[in-house]
Amino acid sequence: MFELVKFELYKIVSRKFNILALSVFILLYFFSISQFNLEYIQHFRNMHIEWNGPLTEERVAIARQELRELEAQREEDWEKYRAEHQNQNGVIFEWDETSGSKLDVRFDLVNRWERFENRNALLADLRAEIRTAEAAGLRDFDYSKNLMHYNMLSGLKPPSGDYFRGWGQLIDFAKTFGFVILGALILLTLAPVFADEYAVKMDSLILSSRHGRKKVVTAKIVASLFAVFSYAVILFIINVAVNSVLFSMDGSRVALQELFLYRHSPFNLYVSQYFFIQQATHLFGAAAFSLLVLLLSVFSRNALIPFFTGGAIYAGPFFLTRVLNIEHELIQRLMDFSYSQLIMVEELFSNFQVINLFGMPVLYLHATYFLFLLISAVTIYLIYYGFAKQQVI
Amino acid sequence: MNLASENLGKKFGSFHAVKDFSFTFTEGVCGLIGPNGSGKTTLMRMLVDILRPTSGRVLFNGTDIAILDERYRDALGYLPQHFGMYRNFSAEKFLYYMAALKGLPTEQARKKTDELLELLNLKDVKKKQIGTFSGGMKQRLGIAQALLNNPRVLILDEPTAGLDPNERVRFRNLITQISGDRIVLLSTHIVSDVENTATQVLFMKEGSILKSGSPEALVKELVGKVWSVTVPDSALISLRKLYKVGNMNRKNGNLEVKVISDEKPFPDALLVQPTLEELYLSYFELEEAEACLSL
Repeated sequence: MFELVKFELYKIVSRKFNILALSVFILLYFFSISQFNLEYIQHFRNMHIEWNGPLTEERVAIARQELRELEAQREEDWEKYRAEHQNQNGVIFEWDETSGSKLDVRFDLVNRWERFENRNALLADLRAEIRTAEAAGLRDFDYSKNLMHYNMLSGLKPPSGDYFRGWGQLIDFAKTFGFVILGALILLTLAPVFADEYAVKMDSLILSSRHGRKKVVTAKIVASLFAVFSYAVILFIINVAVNSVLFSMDGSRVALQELFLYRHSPFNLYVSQYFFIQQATHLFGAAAFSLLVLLLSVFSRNALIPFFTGGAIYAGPFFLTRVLNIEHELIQRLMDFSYSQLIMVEELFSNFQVINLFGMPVLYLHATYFLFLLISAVTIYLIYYGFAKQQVI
Repeated sequence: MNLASENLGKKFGSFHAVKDFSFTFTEGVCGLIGPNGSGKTTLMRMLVDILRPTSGRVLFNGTDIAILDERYRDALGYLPQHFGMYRNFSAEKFLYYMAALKGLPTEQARKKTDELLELLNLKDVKKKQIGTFSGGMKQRLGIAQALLNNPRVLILDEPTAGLDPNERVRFRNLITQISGDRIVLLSTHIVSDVENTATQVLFMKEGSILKSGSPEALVKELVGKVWSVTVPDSALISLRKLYKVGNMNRKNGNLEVKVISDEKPFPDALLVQPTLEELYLSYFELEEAEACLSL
């Protein structure tokens, strides 16, 4: 079995185009990283250090006061600058980076506190709704949902003023570069896995051999997943290396809710904990999508068919909902339970979302995990079945 | 040991590629001969279980091959008529891969690969990429992979296609040498490929068995019916209209022609010993037969 896996892996890695594509994507990533203003990043980080530790009302009041002063100062500087350059066209006002990052730090802290206050307000609303339902003797789906939401939110950590930009950047990778690069590499690498066997007329030799129906399929699946995991590991290493150098890994014990996009998240996690859970989910999504591409490949005589079909399944829901902004209910549901949503991870954790399962609230995250486990199991079965039943005509 | 097909049939739409084919193959070489479209390749694909029959079944030692599954494929060596190989694999790597597919342990795979590369005259190019190989070299590599697992059932579809005369002789000798205790089914367009090696010959036409038996027994049917006549070139057309004409040789400015006829066609015609080629001619239309014999 190990020998077969080795050969299948060799077939994958010996396609030079895969390596070329990976290199191009990495170069593009480095190009985008090179656009960061390193001086600003350094200032922002230095300015944040003095605010490390738990946020309190008193500290936020100071931050708010300083924010007001800095905003006034910026307004004043802007007016002065405009007066000096009133006869010039195309001149852009750039505040000095020290003052700019000072303002941004205060703004960030005030926002964190406001989000914390909003959460407390939501908790109070939920508590009231739960009590009303209990008084009326209601134990319906809405009651269970509110109770679950309340229990999850009430366990969350209080806000802190710690700097954690590096973790934010790491977390952002999965739904941006991770989504695009990994998706493209999966399509490029795995679309030919079965389709090429038919195209080069190796199918009759494989199918008539002892292990040509089952073990070869296992070997192809294992080799494909290994290749995809290797891509994911390479991207993971690049992501961690680049962002830890640029932004540092400070703030690993900051609550997930401190990230703006996760402000409504009900999950009690540090950003560092979430990052690893996110990576595992990202990998799970990549594996599920890899299996789908392999399945398409089993039923295609030309690798372009699984490439484009898989591409449409992967990017279609994203394109319809996020690019064309179509708000049709069915399309939204398609996006909610799509491979792209699973690989991007963010939406699974960023809000409290449940589905109604016979009156029981089930977290959208858990439903998605379960659904894709089920889909992947069926996909694996169909890959085996599909290849074993292939005929050479 | 036997491999039996029971009422085997395959339809593609309304076209019957193989019709109600029942035959039992036993140890030795069985030559499958027939013109293009006679159903040889379709039959072989069903025998190696890569094409599902529309009707009937294949039994190996009395058990349906669908039930035997990989136990049957473990006993099988197959060379398809049209096959491809990975262009970026070396000959050696390709055989290792095929050995892994056939479930050979690594050591045995290495030993068998070396042995077959030597036997098929590919040892010097074992590290070369298959993409650089000629058609004949690829064909020899195809034969090598079919023999890797020391198969008890060897099914070869047009194995001599692309081989030069020397290689064809080597191949025939090899098949004769290994066929003693295994079933070898060999389809060919070249009657001489099986004439001396086959223990049984099967003539196929339109998906069915036209005639079967040992070459000697089959050829006996034609004893007293094959004549050698010498005619000028100009007489050939009229000769063909009257008789089935086989091999011809040029002799002293005329043509020496083999004619199949129940009666003596010309007073100076000489009775000669029939061959499988003449038998083939007697079964098939001249155009079909010529197409086969000329290849």
